[in-house]
Amino acid sequence: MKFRIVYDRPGRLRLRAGAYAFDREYEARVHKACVGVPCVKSAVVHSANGGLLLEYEPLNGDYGASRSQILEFTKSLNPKSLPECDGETEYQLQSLDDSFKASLMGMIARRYLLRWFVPFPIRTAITVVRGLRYVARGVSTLASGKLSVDVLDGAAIGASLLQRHYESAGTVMFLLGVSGLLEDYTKARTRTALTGSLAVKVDKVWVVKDGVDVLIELKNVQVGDLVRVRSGSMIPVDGRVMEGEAFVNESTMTGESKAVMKTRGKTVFAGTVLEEGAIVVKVRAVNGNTKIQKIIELIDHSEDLKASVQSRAEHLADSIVPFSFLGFGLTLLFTQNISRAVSILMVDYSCAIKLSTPISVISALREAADMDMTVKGGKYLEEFALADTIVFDKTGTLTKAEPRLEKIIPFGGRSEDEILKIAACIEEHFPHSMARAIVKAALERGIAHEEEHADVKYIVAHGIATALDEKRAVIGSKHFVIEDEKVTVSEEDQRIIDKEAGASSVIYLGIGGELAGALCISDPPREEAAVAIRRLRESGIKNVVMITGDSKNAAERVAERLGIDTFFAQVLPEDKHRYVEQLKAEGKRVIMVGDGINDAPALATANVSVAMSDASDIARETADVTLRRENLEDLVELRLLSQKLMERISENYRFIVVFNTSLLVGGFLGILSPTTSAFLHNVSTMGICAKSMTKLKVT
Amino acid sequence: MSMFKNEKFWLVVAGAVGSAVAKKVLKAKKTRELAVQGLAHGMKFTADAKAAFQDMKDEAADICNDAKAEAGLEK
Repeated sequence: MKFRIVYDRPGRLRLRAGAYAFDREYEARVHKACVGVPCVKSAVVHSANGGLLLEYEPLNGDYGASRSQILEFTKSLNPKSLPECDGETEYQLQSLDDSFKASLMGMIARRYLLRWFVPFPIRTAITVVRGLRYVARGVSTLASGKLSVDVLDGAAIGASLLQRHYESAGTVMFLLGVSGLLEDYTKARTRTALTGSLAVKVDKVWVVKDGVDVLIELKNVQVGDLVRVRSGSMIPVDGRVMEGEAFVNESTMTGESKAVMKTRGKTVFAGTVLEEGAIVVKVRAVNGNTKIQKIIELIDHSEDLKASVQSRAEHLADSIVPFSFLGFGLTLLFTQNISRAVSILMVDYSCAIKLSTPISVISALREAADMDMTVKGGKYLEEFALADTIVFDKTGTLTKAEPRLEKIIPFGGRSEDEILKIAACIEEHFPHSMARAIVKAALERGIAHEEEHADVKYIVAHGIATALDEKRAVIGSKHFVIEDEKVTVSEEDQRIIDKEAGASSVIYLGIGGELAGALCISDPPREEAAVAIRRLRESGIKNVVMITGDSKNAAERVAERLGIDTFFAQVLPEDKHRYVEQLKAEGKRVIMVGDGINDAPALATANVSVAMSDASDIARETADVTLRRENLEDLVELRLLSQKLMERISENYRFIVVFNTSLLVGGFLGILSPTTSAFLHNVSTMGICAKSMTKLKVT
Repeated sequence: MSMFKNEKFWLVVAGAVGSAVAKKVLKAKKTRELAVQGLAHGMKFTADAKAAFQDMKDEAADICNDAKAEAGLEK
């Protein structure tokens, strides 16, 4: 890029490439490239004059070296060849703000310049031409069989023009223009901010390096690395399967919800979900765009997921229009005064309701995102506010994500360490929290466990089966080991387990059809759980329910400690959603909170669902709300936020109805002229929109 | 023949001729070229004005920065 140095002081350099060096759309890319230079502290980029302002730090105490580095970089810079960037939220927000300010100033300046410098006949002609556009839009809307706000605007402006009230028509058009600009700006800003707050999420992946799995950040993954992906995880990269087999759900790519078998040599894509199995993927492309692309899609989609209060508002707005016309007709009939009748047309409830409701919803979504919660659409906030029942999955949701191995009960003459060694060896392949507790305990006790078993099979949410010294080894819940796998357990052994286990969950290990041991794992509730449940009750939740696959004993103790009134214990994973369905059938509005793969059907069934911060990718995909902090009190914050949103929408309704009705009465009685009515109406609309943009301030 | 003495008649004729000429002029290649050039000049003028305005803003910011540095407000 060719440029001139226009300002040059140590630490600050301004370069200018001229008006046509790059377009406005390249500003963000150039900015990103500039701040990518190691010594550059900050950069300001203007496409209008091709200007770059770079503030820099000295390299080893030498400003000259930094300066030369920057100049070399700028010489080689070619804006057109820079890749598209997505992470520059702050920059995008800044440029959105700037362009809004510029457009608003431009609009105001145009209005006053026209008024001061353009002779009346030309000004009138301009007003008429612009007014006719509104009239034409109104007519075409009417012709398509709709009686909407466009018709009302067209009629109001048309009537003013016919009465030769050009000033009043001009004011109405100016205010409508400002409202439109404000609406576009708010939508663009909230959308950008929302995208930004979602994009910050850092994903970590397991990379196989010299035969060892290392957890590293996704952004540090290089092409050619080997990434291990396990059941329930999202595949983070594009690549080729090098090892293992798995069923992959590619619905995000293909729309086909049935999982596809992926074996060695097959290609997998970022964003698809591994449902069962485990694979090692050789990275072909670390697609930085994929994740953000998905998120942007999600946000686009979230506009379709309008809160029903929002659709109702829009419907209501349009349904009020005929009454405005009726009011106009009646005023004309009774007062015989066209001016008073037009005042009625100038005021409509619809515009304010239609604008303020979506702005309130979008700004609440943004506020939730700022509080580290992702809400996938306005209607979920509404459901969250209206729910009266909350259902928790126990493990990983109400309890800490890291259960501890409390006790090992060996049978058949085996030692505790032997049982732990076998269990850890099998369990280490799967990322369940219980499995992690066993592997961790083995590590703490210094038990090395070499791979002695054959290929392992993971039965989702039940347990694991494998072959050990040519005997079938199974590990998992009592239901899986004793009932499904028919492992025998004597009454005496069962009595010992029941006595020793207490409130702990028990993992059974069966080898060759006989019980080899039991591992008692305790999973204490999260510290904040009791307070969160109490506060949820205070916020109007009537029923707090817990569903768990654990024993009745364990469930009962947790329920008692947390003040939960209903619990369902020993629930099979596939049955969880039935309990939610049952609650819904009883007429309850249900929030489901879960984290595991097995919670996904229940999450999908509930009126609104929440996935915890460390939930499996499937749960996160299914849930309507995802938390990014490990704190149950976030649920309370979200509840309060959603309730405040509903309150704000009702408050807005009340204000709009009262204020505009008084304008109508004023117009009818002839107290307010059409211009004053239009002015007050539009100013109040802008005011209510501006108020709707403010934070609800839950905390 | 009184028709030719009627002022209104000539006005009508002038109007008809005028609109025919105007139509020709509007449709002429030259007019189009002139209009395109005019528009291009206008657009260039706007871009140049924006650039000049930005230059002024930048220079003002630099002067302000120097003043701050001199006053010891910034390093």
